[in-house]
Amino acid sequence: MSTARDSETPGWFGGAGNNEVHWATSSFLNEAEWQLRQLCDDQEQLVASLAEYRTMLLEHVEQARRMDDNNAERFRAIERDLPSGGR
Amino acid sequence: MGLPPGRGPIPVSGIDASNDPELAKAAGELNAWIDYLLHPELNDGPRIYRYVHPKYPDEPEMGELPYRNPWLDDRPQEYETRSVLENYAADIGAFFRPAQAVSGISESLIERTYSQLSQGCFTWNKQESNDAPAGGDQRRVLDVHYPELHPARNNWMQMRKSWISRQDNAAHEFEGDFIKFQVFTENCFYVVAEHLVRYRAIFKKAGEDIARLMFGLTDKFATFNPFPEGGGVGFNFLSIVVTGLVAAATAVITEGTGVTAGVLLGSAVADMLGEAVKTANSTGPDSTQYQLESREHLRDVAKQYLDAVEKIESDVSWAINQLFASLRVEVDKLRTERMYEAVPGTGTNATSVPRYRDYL
Repeated sequence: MSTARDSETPGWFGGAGNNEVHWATSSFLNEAEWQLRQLCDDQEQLVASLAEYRTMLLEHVEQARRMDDNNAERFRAIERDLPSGGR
Repeated sequence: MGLPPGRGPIPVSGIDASNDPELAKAAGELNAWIDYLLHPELNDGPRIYRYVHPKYPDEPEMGELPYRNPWLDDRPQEYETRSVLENYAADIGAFFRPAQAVSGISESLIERTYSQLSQGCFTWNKQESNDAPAGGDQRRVLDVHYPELHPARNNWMQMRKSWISRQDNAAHEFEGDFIKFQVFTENCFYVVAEHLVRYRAIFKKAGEDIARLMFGLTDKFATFNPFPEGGGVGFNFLSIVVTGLVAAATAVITEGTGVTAGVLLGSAVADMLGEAVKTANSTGPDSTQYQLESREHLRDVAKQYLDAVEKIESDVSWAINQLFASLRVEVDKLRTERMYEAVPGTGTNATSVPRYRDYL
């Protein structure tokens, strides 16, 4: 859209006419392009934020897995220490 | 009524048949008629016979005739043949400038940008997903035109069920703020998309109305009768005012059988125009009557046409300026509404994207 606005790309603009419409179009596309630029920036930050959250969740899952493994290992150690060897 | 006798259409530059076929056809026929009427010496059609006898310099012009008169032609010292459109000969472009101003918008070109703007995530629900629908969570974002539909909120909540720690509370708060921010941001994109629909619709409607006026004028040229019984038949049609399209309702995504889909630009434009026509009150400010009344002189009929198309061009300009203003107002409103409490309980609102680390 920024290219369309900058180069007044045919297809986005009508013809010259009495020039009224052309100026109005230019202003509108300028505003639309500016808004989209801000929104794309917001969206990029949202994606980054979500990626950050995902990384944290994966770390949490990994931490939980390690904790479960440790607990399991502790139980197995108790079992091994039993006189009957757990049997 | 088509073309003048023995003539073909004369294409008008800047009115492209691939983008605006009806307007290009109307303009080509009107251009052929104007060329025909400007050169009465080359045909037998409408003309003015002006009395030019030197003995009677103050004699008024004879008037317009719908065809050649051999008796008058045989007296060139007394009667000069003039074009019925001689007043406009210096600026024929006036007949076409409004049409050129609203022509050339490419739906397929705008569609490429539009379709990207109407693809959401949290406001969408995809058929291929086996996840549960968004459900009735009380925190679900519903107070927007395009509400939260994606099941992520429920899925995340299920995922955290066995998670008992202070991070769970932080995650719960973060997810709520994040989803709200995302849903409002997607709605901002849809507002831009809706404005593109309105932008296209304004040009399309203006082009249709100008084409009808062009056909009406060529019809008047073809059936010219300077002395009609009962004043002659007027050409008129009722249309919606393009300025009313600035705030017309439109939808850029649809929801049906639990699945959402983006609406193609062409369909959104057609639906919007159809609805605007349906709801327009024929006597209200949202509709307008275009007419070309029969007159003794074709130049006066042409004047009605020129007034009408120039008004349409002005209306289009006004409408697009309003689009410019409403786009900013609508997006800014959503930006304000997507704010969230930076630190719960403090009443301080944040405008930036929520980050999980800030909730810990």
